[in-house]
Amino acid sequence: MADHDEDWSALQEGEEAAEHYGTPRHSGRYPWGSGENPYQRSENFYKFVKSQLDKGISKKDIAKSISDGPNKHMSIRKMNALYSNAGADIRRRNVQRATRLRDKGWGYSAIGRAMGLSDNTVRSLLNEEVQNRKDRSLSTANLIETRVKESGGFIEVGKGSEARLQISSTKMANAINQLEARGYPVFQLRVPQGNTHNKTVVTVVGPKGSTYKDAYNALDKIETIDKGYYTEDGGETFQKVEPPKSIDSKRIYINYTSDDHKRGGVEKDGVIELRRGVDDISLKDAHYAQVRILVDGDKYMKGMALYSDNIPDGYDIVYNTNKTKAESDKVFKKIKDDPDNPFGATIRTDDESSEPELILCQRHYTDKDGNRQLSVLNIVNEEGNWQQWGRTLSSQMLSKQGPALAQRQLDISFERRKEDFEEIKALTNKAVEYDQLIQFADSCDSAAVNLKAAAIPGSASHVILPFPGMKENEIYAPNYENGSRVACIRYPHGGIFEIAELTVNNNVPEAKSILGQAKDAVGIHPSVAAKLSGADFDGDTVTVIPNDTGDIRSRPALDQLKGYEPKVLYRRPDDSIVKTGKPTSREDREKAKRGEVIYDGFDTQAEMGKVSNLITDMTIKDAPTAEIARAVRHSMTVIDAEKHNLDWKTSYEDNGIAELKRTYQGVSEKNGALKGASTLISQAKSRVYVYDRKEGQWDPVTKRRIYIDPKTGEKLWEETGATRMLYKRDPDTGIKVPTGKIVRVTNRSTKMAEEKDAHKLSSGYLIEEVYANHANRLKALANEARKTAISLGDPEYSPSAAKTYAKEVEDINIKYLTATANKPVQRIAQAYSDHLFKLIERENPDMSDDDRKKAKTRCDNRARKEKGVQKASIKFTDREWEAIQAGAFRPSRLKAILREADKDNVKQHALPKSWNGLSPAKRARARAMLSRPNATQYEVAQALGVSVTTLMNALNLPKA
Amino acid sequence: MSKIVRLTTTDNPHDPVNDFGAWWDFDHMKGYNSSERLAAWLTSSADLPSEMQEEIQEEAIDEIVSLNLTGVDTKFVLEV
Repeated sequence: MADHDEDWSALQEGEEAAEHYGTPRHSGRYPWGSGENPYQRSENFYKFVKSQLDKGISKKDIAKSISDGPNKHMSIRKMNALYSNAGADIRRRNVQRATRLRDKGWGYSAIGRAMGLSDNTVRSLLNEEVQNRKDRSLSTANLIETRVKESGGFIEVGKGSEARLQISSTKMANAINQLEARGYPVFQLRVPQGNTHNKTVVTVVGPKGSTYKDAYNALDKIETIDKGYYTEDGGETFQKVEPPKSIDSKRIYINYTSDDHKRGGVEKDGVIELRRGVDDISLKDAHYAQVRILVDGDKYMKGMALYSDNIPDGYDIVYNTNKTKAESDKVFKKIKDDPDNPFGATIRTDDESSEPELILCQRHYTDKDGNRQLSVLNIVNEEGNWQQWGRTLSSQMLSKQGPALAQRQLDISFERRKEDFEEIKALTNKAVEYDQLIQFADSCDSAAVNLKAAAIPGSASHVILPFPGMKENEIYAPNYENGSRVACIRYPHGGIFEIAELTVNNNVPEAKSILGQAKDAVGIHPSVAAKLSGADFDGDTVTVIPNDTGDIRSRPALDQLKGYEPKVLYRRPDDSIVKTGKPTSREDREKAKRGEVIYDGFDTQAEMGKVSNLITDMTIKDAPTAEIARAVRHSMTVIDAEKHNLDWKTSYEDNGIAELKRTYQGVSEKNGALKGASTLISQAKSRVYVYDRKEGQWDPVTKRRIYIDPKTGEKLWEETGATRMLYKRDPDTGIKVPTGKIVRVTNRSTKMAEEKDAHKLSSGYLIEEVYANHANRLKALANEARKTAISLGDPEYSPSAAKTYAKEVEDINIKYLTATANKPVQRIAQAYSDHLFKLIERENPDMSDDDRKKAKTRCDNRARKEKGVQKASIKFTDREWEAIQAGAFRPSRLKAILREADKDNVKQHALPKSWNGLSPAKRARARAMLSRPNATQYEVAQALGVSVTTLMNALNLPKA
Repeated sequence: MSKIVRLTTTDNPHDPVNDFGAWWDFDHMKGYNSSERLAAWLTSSADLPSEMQEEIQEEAIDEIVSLNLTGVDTKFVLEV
């Protein structure tokens, strides 16, 4: 029998360790030592215990062989709990992985090969997923019951709620049945629908004993099913957000910055290093995460958390700060006076809801006694959240690279549009083709204003992490080939002197040990961050662009930017009552009301936009480097001004920004005010006023209204001649008062959209001409598409086809009705909109019909936005599509149906069969992209705008 | 109750008020340049008093959102 120490080392050496353990136990604070992530540790624990059991060793003896502290072995009870939890954890992960692969279309054998399991085991795992889904009905019913009790009101459970919980509609129906059986009433409320006389149905569950009338009166207070809850297991169970757990500051070693601000914490500012193997600070199987940690109950730290092997004895965490020892009282931030959001960190979900929602994720772990505990780590972003594959390059970035690269990327972008155009012209259904051509034309018009170019393949954003031991010209980037060259860009991007050209070295031991095969992080030397617009390491990202060809140019960092520390130069004194920005919490607002704090109203977004446009204009106009450096310095102040309470006005003056704006953007002839944008790149999207107009013109020849000029393909407009009273604000009261002057009603558009020849917006620099040519060819392509569209004529209606395909016609009609019926969130939005409208009505009882209609539309729009309404869409079967092609629908009906249809599905049906879902040109491009090292099918499918399945089918790629 | 209004896009998961750095990175990675578009839109109102700036800014954001050139423009409102 091996001694305890030897046995435990086996649990720390990786998957194979259980077979040949025997080295001395590592020393450290915890008896299980450090050296790897906790998931692996629990997996090894499971393997170890199982191997002993398989050998016939009794549980008692196995437990005796396991150390649980100095001179202490583990109890059987505890070992059983840990063994059981570890087994369940492994099984759960296997089920999740197998399900993910199955959802990607993989077969049992392929999944088995990928996971190293037999086909039967894979079947069993996927069956378990089925069982899990059954169990979800019960947990869903429990959740709804809890939500009803908590809210004291009504919870929406209609169609679509199941999507919010990631369960099927059948399971949701089962859950509702269970609730009714428990005595909770379910009501179907009929709510008026927008401006129409139709009513929609809102299904709600209410408290026991509540009535229909109670529910109807509480329409504006109905809550969604998942509010305030989150899931750690894909919807299987739901947890309520708990008060964060605090950590004792005695466990934290603070790595201060040296007094000269050059060494120490500043080199890793924002990095939170964690001891491996400590449960309450475990990242589980992730390598890194952006976190908030409550300290001593009243302070918090935030930054990027990662494991480290260099934690001083007696500590569990090293917190790297740019503060010196003399500033020790400023290392941690004070928590906000908001129990729901103590860290002041709100980030939005991506479901179009405009309500900020706290989605800090909380993680749990099983402690040594087998109890579930809340981790002290509150996750803001975790591994995998940062990666965004770049699909376009902005004009702001490309215009700084010079005309040759811009021309090339714009050409690629234009060729792709032409490919799309050819693809649409090959569609086999007139109605679909017309619809797609009009949409395509509109997208070309928008592209002429947006001026985006094709991205360089392989570009993606990554979060940066510091490794002082690395070389300054290297990058640890496991998503890129070892030895290849990349360019790193971070915004605000002042010029090519802020681009870092680096060589990939994926053999840096420290980075390899900590980041491993990081999904979306790169390791760099701290000095590289300084070049990248002064990035720090608390979650900042860079765009990594493959650059073996050297197409992306860079220059050495500007001397004027070296050592520029806006946080040191412009930070307001701590006792200053003036704060940059506006109050962003109730607490701040109250302080402002009491006069304890004065906010200067600074708006980071608008000011960053202004200085970014200034830098673009200066670069295009070949401003001297020293002057560009001034604007860049100011931009570095602006981006941190609100966050670090910087005196941005002094930075504005110190850097002579007004003078730069005068020189490179000019002044208004009218009032002498400084202008904003002055080159085609920056002013393409500037506002221009046009007289109120409506689409279309009366055509005396055809005696009907036409919307497209048949000769040019341009959109036709007709001015309405509408007028309005001009109002002026009374300087004393601030109230708008009529002036008695009548003026024409105007609408807003963009300069580029209204200008037929983009060259008229150019100040004559070469890069502007490149973009002007591109904008003009896009406008021409849009016109050509519209001309093609109106030449198509209407699709023919066939009464006999309607009879032949009567069943399909009926099925499509049902799908259409379902798609247009309101979904649950839509129904909540409807109720909310009605509530808003009632308030307006109460305030303005004498509204005209027209005003009422407008007010209702505004309420609808606001409600839809705030409640995150999304549309459902129709998908056709092959036989249904046959019905459409045979002319079973009248043209107007078909157009209405197609408006509600899934675009990809329609396109798949309408493309020539021989294409197999992808045009020959796109197929060739896909093959070329896939031949690149490290290219993934997902990335290629994204670039082509198709699903992975379509890509695989079109190219006959194997499924696994 | 006061509010802070920003231009954002429906796919940007970050808060443009409290987490501007992350918001800005995402916005530029996607090439939306929302801040630059807003600044270009606001050109003519550069020297107005701050309370009017706020009103004009919200109006500008509403206009940009209604034009929706990116297809994903939306208004972010933080009520405090």
